[in-house]
Amino acid sequence: MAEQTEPFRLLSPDGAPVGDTDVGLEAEDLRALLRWMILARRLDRECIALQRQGELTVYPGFEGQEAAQVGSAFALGPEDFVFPSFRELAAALVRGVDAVQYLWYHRGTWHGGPYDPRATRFGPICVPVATQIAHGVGYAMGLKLDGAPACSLTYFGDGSASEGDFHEAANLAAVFAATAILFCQNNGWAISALHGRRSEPVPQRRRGAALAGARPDRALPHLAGGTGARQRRVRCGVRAGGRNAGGRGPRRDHIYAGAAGRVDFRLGLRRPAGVPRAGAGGGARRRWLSRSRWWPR
Amino acid sequence: MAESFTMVAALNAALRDSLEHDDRLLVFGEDVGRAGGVFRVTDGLQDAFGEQRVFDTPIAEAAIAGAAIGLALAGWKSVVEMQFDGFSYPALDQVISHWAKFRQRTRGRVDLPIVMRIPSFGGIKGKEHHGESPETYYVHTAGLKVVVPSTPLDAYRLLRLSIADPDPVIFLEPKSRYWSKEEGALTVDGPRIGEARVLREGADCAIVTYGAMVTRVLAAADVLAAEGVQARVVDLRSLVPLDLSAVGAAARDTGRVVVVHEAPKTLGMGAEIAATVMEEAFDYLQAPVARVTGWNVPYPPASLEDLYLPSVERIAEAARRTVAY
Ligand SMILES: Cc1ncc(C[n+]2csc(CCOP(=O)(O)OP(=O)(O)O)c2C)c(N)n1
Ligand SMILES: [Mg+2]
Repeated sequence: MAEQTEPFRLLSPDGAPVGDTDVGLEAEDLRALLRWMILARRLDRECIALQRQGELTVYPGFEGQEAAQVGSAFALGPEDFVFPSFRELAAALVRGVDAVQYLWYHRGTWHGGPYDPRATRFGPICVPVATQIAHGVGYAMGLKLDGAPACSLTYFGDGSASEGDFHEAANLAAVFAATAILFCQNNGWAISALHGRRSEPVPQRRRGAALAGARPDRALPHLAGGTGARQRRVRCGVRAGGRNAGGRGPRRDHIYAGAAGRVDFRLGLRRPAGVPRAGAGGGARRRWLSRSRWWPR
Repeated sequence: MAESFTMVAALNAALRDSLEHDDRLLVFGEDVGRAGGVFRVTDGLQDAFGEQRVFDTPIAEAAIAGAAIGLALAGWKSVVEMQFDGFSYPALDQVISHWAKFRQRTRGRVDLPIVMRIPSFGGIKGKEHHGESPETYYVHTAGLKVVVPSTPLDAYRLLRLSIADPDPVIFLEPKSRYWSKEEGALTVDGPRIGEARVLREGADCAIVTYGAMVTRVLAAADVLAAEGVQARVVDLRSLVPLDLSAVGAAARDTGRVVVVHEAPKTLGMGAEIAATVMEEAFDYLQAPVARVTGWNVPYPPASLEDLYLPSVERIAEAARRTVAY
């Protein structure tokens, strides 16, 4: 994959197409992408409500990250394997994980992944940040030993990229030339710390591990980047998205809000500068699609 | 004359036979490939089985332990080597947070057939970080099996059984016994994981131990026998699962129990054995359970090592006191 630190963009914040927007997808696929994103947002909001009602325990919302998750998961083939962190419900949906089974985790019914990781090719939810990256790399090493034409895709956050585990796993991927995609969802936050406070930009850092990298923006580039990574069989892509990728910045009430009870971790949280207000991205995407030939009128 | 094996040779043979037996088995870690391991345990394996199945990794213990999970999901079994006990700690997070929990977290759907070999314990006049007794960290973590061989033939058996086990096994190799020899045939037949073995019969007291201390306990039993005290020697082999019936029987049959280990006393295996003896055989006890252990200090430098490790005399003296109680 080409050196790229500027976001790869097909759509401006106001919904206007940027450059050549043909990413080689059928109208049907584009509609499916949008459908997943809308569905994921609706489910995410429902989960937040359920958490406030006490029906779910801690629930890590992902509003604004739908594009990053849906686009990347959509690009995968059936043989590929996803290693999530704890915020990838949208990706899980796209991979066919049953939402009810997935939510048993957040309902406090079962730890890990109540769904079948082998059948869904979606690993257990992983909370100790960055520890799942080595799992994804190990899986890709296994694929390589089998000569299997598939890859692993591991999600992790921008804050998690400060962990030694990220560096160890990225280096391992490079040393074994494993077909592992390391997908950093940069939502600009790590609980309370802003991106840049706790981590250097991730795409730049992967150079230390001699990995290919890309920085897609919004769902279509995520998808394009994802398929590109697969098709070109890159050794490994570290990519960042999230905050830049979707409409809204991170939720002001982050994952600990539910568990904390009376301790209010929300104090002091602010929307990072430059992050659009709620809904901007989703609306822009829809406006663009409705102007395009792809959106049914 | 029967063939004799060092523990290193027996472990090497166990890996070799397992690699031959199962073509989904991998052996990896730091310097295990080309170099054959710093203790030569993996010597010649890369030549025999190729760089795909026996390979060197970066010096990254967490990544080694983590990769084994992904490999398991992709259908591969792994034996990973930590170069030394003191350098196994970077992998602890993966072991505690993932290895130990994976079966339960996946509702029994995913096996983790992984063995972590760790050259362990003191007695080799090693440098700092080269003589640790890490067993309690693993024993205390539900979801792991923990085994410690004491002799070459049992090392062969235990390693083969550990590799065949569907769950993660922490395999602690007593490095001070690496070059000890034992005569006989290499076989997996015999006690399983979870079964202790009685190495010497005796009715006056029972000495329960594992790993490198087994040799010292047997020497102490000889000293005691010369004084007319017959000690039963129990080699635990498997710390998890613990052979409760063997420990209980030793306590019931003798009424007097001494536990010996290198690790510091506080919350060591001795504490667990003492409590188990109380639960299993309180009414039979003739004396309090005695513990002969390392001290509650960081593992000392080589010049002080002999003051730290339980000596034959300390073990014999504890047994005398227990018998005379
Ligand atoms: C090893 C570890 N340390 C601390 C935590 C507590 N924690 C949970 S989420 C989080 C922030 C993670 O930030 P980021 O990686 O950016 O992911 P995001 O939550 O933004 O998706 C922290 C510190 C953890 N889960 N794991
Ligand atoms: Mg973040």
